[in-house]
Amino acid sequence: MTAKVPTKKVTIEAKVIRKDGTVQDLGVIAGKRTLRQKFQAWRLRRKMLRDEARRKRNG
Amino acid sequence: MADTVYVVDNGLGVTTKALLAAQIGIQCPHHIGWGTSVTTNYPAATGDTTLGTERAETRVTGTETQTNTGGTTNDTFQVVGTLTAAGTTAAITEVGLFDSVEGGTNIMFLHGTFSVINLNEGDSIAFTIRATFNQA
Repeated sequence: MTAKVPTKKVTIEAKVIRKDGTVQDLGVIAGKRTLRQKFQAWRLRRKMLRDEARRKRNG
Repeated sequence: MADTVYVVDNGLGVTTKALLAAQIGIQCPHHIGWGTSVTTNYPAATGDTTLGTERAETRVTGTETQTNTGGTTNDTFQVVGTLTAAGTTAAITEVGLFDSVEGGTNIMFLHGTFSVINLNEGDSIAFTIRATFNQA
């Protein structure tokens, strides 16, 4: 008889902290996610890329 | 009588507590390392023992706690920590939890890969890593 204790889920959340102090919350970037969390992560990542492009344009 | 066996709810707390500190002969896997592999170990697999390409920054010792995200008290092992890109830009694609701050002889507890996060020198990522346990 074996009692299993598996991991139900593993998640990784990330916040990017730029050198100038700007914080970009990326939400759940890896692991088991709900559709809502996946959409939120996609939206946050797009925002991060937009912010990055804007920062480069402005030097 | 049905043959059944469970690690009971409080047992989940024992499992996560065992991960918190040096107990039962193991070290707490709360040291966070990151890397840039996009080929060799990408995506993470259950047989991984190292990051694909670990960055040179020293692993950070995260803050480990027991928490509840699966519906049972203390069913989750959580580590929070921040790593900073030193010296160069970085294209981060993976993160891992280790039982040692040093590379080399150590055990990787968890390996996660994700879409690239580009960092300039001095930028950081604050990671919150959670492993939730339950009964099969």
